[in-house]
Amino acid sequence: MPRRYDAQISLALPEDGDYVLVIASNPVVEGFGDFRAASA
Amino acid sequence: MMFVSRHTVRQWGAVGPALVLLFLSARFIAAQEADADQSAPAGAVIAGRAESGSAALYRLVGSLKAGDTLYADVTRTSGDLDPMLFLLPGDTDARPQAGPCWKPAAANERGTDPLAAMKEAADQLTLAWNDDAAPL
Repeated sequence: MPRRYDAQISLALPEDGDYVLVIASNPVVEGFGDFRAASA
Repeated sequence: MMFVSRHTVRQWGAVGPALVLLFLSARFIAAQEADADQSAPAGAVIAGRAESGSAALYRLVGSLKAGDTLYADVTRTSGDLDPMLFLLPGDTDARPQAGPCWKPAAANERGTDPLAAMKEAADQLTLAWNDDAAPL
């Protein structure tokens, strides 16, 4: 199966409060580029 | 919910899958530079740039309640970026910190598969993570 260059998470939040979302480049690939991210 | 701040951390030092995750633990990574914070509107699509050895951090604040479903996705729009996405508790101290770095070679020396070590660390250190949206 060809690799896809995106990532998704969906989570029922465990508690009230703030969260931190981190977007990183996979170090194995050592690539670089632009991204678009959305959250809801 | 709002994206209220963003900063990018570069130059993690030795690069490896588990290094990414230990960076997220904010305890072991030597990072040397951070860009200024940046605000973004609530629930909006955001755009940025990432490169090997960097990470963009967004603090999500607002009326996030237990049981709410948070959905996030990130897609490459140019280059050969392979993005990874992590969700951490809001009280995580993700500021750059000096300290010893985990290196992939260390996992190899212990006879541990670096990718397996990365998955294990991600499962322990993050609330959710993904590096490839393709179905298993």
